[in-house]
Order: sequence, then structure tokens, then C-alpha cells
Amino acid sequence: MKNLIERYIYDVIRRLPEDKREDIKEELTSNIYEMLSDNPSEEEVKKVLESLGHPRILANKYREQKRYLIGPVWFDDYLLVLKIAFAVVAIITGISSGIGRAINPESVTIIGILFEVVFYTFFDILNALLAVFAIVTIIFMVIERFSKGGHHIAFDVYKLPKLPKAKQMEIKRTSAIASVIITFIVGVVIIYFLYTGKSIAGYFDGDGQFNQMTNFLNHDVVMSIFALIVISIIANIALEVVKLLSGRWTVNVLLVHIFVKLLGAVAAIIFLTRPGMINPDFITEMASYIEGMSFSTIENGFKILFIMLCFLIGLATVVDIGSTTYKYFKNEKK
Amino acid sequence: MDNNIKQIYQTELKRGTLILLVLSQLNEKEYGYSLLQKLVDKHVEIEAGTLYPLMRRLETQGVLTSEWVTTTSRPRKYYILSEFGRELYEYLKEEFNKMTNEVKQLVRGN
Repeated sequence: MKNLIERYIYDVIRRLPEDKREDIKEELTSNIYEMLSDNPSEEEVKKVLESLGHPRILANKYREQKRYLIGPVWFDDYLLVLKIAFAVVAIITGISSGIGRAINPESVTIIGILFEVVFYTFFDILNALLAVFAIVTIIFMVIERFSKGGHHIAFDVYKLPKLPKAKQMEIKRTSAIASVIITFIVGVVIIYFLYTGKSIAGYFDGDGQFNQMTNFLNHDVVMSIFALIVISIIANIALEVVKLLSGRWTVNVLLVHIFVKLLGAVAAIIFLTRPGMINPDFITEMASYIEGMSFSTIENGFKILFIMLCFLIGLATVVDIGSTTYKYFKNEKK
Repeated sequence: MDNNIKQIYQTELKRGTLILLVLSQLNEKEYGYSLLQKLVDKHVEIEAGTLYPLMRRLETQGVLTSEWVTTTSRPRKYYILSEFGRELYEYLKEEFNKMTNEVKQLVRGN
């Protein structure tokens, strides 16, 4: 019986800050005994303890301030970010892991490979999602801590988001997520092939043997502007993330869009006009296959091709920036 | 379901006056259970699990002062209004009277 009371009190105070435990324990003990007759039955003790409520709830009432990991003020944003992050990471991991597992399988049978790919991909996605969950939760925990529940956030009425003026100004979440994923995958593939300098082009000869062709690009020249290309790709991914988070076209999104597209065009044009970009060995090899074409004819041919590509990229970028800006201001006026 | 909503608003209505009622009974020193009984005798609906933590909180805020009395068969922690507590009580009482008058007028108006 006495044991029951002690157990109840212990279950309350173990949830409280250490420096308050002893005091609360003494007071609670005293109060509980006051509530009991001199020789209480077990039934009586049970009733009194039950009237005090669940130890967890009583402890919560003793606590001076409410504690949240992520409070109600931030919870909506937390869920939204979590959902988007889950969708993006699940798809990216699914595709990259699936391809990775399929390229380098340990099994030899088709069924085995299939199993391997499906199961490993599943667990890779699961792992990635757990990591995302942890990261997003920690970020919001920190926000919660620093905003103290968000009740005292200074807020400027002029910084409230503007109402979307037209339907066209909205950026659909599904298409924005798709853009993030596609940009990411294309970017990773480009970086991978440029960095490793691997040639994927080749041909099967009569014996079914795969012959890899000599690298088309000059790896040293590629590496000399590799940083610029990586930056441009990251900027493109960031742009899509910005669009996803913004959910609509704004002046800022438009400016970022213009900047990133210009950066991409500049990077591509520098890449294409870099002297010695095409591997001379490749040209030599090509000349040996094609009759009547000398090294310089092929080299010049590629040069002209690259310059035409530069013009196309420049034109496409100008058209893209022009039409996006025009659309933005046309809808803004409505 | 209707009764449930009634219950919620009734509790909410009473909650604001709880502090006032608790303070009103602490001109003389009381320990947790004696105060609980005093309030229950006067038909104040309050649970032990709410009152005891509330008394502690009022003490940390300087509204109540406390002392342990060990001369009785069991040690008891007695609480009483502090100087500030009395001031607070008078202030809240005044506010309550003002408010009830205003509320009464409004409610009667309908």
C-alpha cells in the first residue's frame, strides 16, 4: 500500500527536472497521506491515486512551461516540408539506387537480379527517408527552439506573400517536384561522365565483343572548366528547388531564373568553344574509319558544329528568358 | 455531442475564475488538501491534480509563500498569500466585479 504511493510519486517526479524532484516528492507525499484515513485500505489508496490522475499528466502540470519538439505553430510547415522532401528523396533514391543495383548485380540469374534490385532499392529508399525524417525534424526542432513556439515572431505586414494574380503565376507542385528530380538526375549523369571521362559510345564486333571507342572529349580540357559546369548544374537544381518552395512566379524567382539560365548558357558556350575540347585521338581514329576525310576536315566539321550549337543555346536561352519575363509581366498586370 | 461542446465551454468559462477563487481562500494558511476540501465544500469544481501544481506555480511567481510545519503528526506544507498575492487578489477582485457588471448588462440586453 505504502509501496503503491511511492511508486505513484516516483512515476511523477522521474519526469520532472532533477532539482525540483525532492521538494515535489515531499509535498505530494504529505498531500496524499492527508487525503487518506489513518489506516487506509488498498481500495482507498487506489481511489486517491486515481483522483490525482495519470502520473504523466500530473507531472506535466507541475512543469512550468509546455514543451514541444515541434509546436503547433510550426507543425503545418513541418509536415509540408517533410512531404515534399520525402517525395523528392524517395524518387531520386529509387531511380539512382535502382540503376546502381541493376548495373552491378551480385546475382547471376534474372530472378536473383530482380529480387536484389527490388529489395536493395526498397531498403535504400527506406534508409534515405529515415535520414530525411531525422534531418527535417532536427531543423524544425532548432527553429522551434529559437522562435520559442513562434508566438513572439516579429512580423512585418508588408512582407506577407502577395495574392497570386492569375492562375498562370502558380507553379504546380507536382511539376516542380518532377523538375527537381529530372534536373538532379541529368546533372548527376553529366557530372559523372565528365568527371570519370568514360566513353559510353562503342560498338559490338562480329564476336559479340564490345569495343569502347576512344573518348570524344579531351579529359584534361574538360577538367579545366569542370568547376564551372558543376556550379551551373547545382544552380539549376537550386533554381528548381526555389520554384518548388515558392509555389508561384515572383520577381525574385524570375531574377533567379534569368541568372541561372544565363549562367548555364555561358557555361555551355565556354565548354563548347574551349580550344582542344575534342580529343585529337578520337579525330584520328574517326579519320581512319572514314575514307576521304582528313584530320583537319573532321576537326573543322566539329568546330562548325559546336559553333552552331553555341548559337542554338544562345538563341534558346534568349527566347526562354524573353518569353518567361513577358509571361510574368503580362500576368502581373492582370 | 452537443453536451460535449456545452461541457467544453462551461469549463472554459470557469477556468478564468479559478485563480481568483483559490486566492480568496488563502488569507489564512492552508496546505494542499485542506485548501482542496475548503474549495470543494464551497462547490468549486477542482481536482487535486490541478490544485497542487497550481499552488506551487503561484509560489514560484511570488503570489504565495510557503513553510513546512513539522509539529503535526505529519509534515505539512502551508501556503498563504504574500504581500504581492494580496495585492494581486484585490486587483483581480476589482477586475472581476467590473467584468461581471459589464457582462451582466450585455447578457441582460438580449
